[in-house]
Amino acid sequence: MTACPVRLAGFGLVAALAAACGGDGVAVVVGGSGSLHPLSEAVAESFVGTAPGRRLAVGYSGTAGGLRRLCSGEIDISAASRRISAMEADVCRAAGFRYVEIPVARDGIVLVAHPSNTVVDCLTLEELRRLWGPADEVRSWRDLRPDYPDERIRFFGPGPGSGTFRYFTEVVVGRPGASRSDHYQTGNDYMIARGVAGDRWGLGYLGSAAHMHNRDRLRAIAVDTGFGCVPPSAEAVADGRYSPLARELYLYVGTSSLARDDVFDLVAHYLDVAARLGPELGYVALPEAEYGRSRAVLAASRRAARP
Amino acid sequence: MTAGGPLGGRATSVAHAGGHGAVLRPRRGAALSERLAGRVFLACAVLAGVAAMAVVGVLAWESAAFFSQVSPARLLTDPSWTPLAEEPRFGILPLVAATAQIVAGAAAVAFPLGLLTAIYLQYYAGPRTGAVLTAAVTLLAAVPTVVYGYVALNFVTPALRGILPGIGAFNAFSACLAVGVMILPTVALLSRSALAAVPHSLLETGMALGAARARVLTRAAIPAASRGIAAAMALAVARAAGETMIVTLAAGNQARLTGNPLEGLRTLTAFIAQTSMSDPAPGTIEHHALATVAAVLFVGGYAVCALARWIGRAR
Repeated sequence: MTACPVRLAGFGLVAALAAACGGDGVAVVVGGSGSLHPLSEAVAESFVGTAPGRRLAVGYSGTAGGLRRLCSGEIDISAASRRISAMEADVCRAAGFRYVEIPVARDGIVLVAHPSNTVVDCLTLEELRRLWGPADEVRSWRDLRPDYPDERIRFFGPGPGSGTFRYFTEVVVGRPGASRSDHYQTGNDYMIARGVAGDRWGLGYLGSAAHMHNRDRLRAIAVDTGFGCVPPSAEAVADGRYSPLARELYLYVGTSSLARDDVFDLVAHYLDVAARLGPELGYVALPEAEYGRSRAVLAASRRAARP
Repeated sequence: MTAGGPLGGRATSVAHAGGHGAVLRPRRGAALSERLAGRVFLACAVLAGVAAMAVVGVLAWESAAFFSQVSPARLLTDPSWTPLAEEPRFGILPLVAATAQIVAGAAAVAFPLGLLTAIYLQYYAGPRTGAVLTAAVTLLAAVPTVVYGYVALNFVTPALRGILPGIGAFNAFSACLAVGVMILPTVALLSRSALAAVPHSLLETGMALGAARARVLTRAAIPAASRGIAAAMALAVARAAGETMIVTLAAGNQARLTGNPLEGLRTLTAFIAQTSMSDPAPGTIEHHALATVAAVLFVGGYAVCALARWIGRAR
């Protein structure tokens, strides 16, 4: 009774694959970080508006997967919510693959709780380490502070392929990847938001764009890094008070791809509109001088790529 | 059809062993189109076989690479499955236990409901009610699993929160309910076919002996159809164990060995789905671990089907 729909779906899939993976004309393929995905999508939309006929495929699978696929030549541009690691850079170098790193925006990693949880309003970095570290020291909120309720914490966070995960564990726990592993893990920020929003005593962390998108049903927890409690506001991310949980977001672009007009134009457009489109999505724009420097890097790489 | 005693009749008795090849095979002088058609069909059949062998081959190859780094004993005894963690652990038990929990919960929903539905449709329903209800059950089979997952996450879990305040946003309970409803048509429709294949004479004999309808059903019809019913249930179990979308959406992705249905969990399938989405690099242990989990799922599914066949024969 289901054989027919299944077979039709099969044909549809083949057609879709043919359309997405070539067919007529090559599309610019963007992958990588989910934290930067909302901005990339907005930029892509605006780009297609200015240059109709250009073909883009904007997806995400996490920073680690994106950088790997970039250096194996599967995608043209990988978004990244952290810098490329030395090991990843070695892999690229061994493959003879060259790329440029273009910072496009800043954001903060936001600790989120259920809106009705008004007890927990500020956590220190040390408390975050105890909450998220691999030692699994904390089960209930009371384990963290004696005046917190004895309610078990359900944890929601990104998985090991995520740049947010590696960045967060590096600055909070001290080693990239060192994390508790019994929490709800997903590469999809929306599902983290969904989990915390459905859990009176839940705790999660995600990029500020995902927080902005879900701000009606999540409460941001301020972080005390030694200079008092700082909420993850745009100002605090911009002026550095929210560091170390404020970070830069990057595009990694293959130098060989930059020789193509569509890739170059897209990245140039990204630099032109990121400061305008970013803030309403939850990002913080970089200083204009940084965009200018990136434009110069981009132009130089293009000259190098085109003999 | 095997002619046994009143209780020995087999529900599924049509044998296809010989096929119709002798009749339909093209003769030597057949038109070119006839012979060409034969070749095309052959190519399709071979393609299916090659695909199946390729899947088995890939799983075996990748699993072998996995077992060159992790011993089978560690796979089966380590209580923790965290292949991507800083210090990876490779104990498959939490995943297997989670899958078993989903299967058991779904079976608890679908087996009684499905069997009673089948009995009602076959023996009690009038023609019109029967047609409407059959269409309704068939409709359940046409619902894509992602829709079940969506409903479980967005409607079932919030509704359950009213009754069970401690329930998590991602939990095994609502996933079990949704998977149970998903496999309900498999149980109901196949069990009904099994019941329909019970020889009328058997039921009439029972009635003639003065047995009440319920007694004829429980003592004659259901035992006679038990092989078909067991096959239906095995197929349903295999579908529940292989179900991915519902458990990924509704039960989440938490590698924890917990029997608590109010908590989230991570099944074999959910692990494969979530990990594949983060693009693990080929050649790494994560990638081999994916194939190993897939192989375990494959072997388990095959074992369930073999077991069902064996039960059917042994009776």
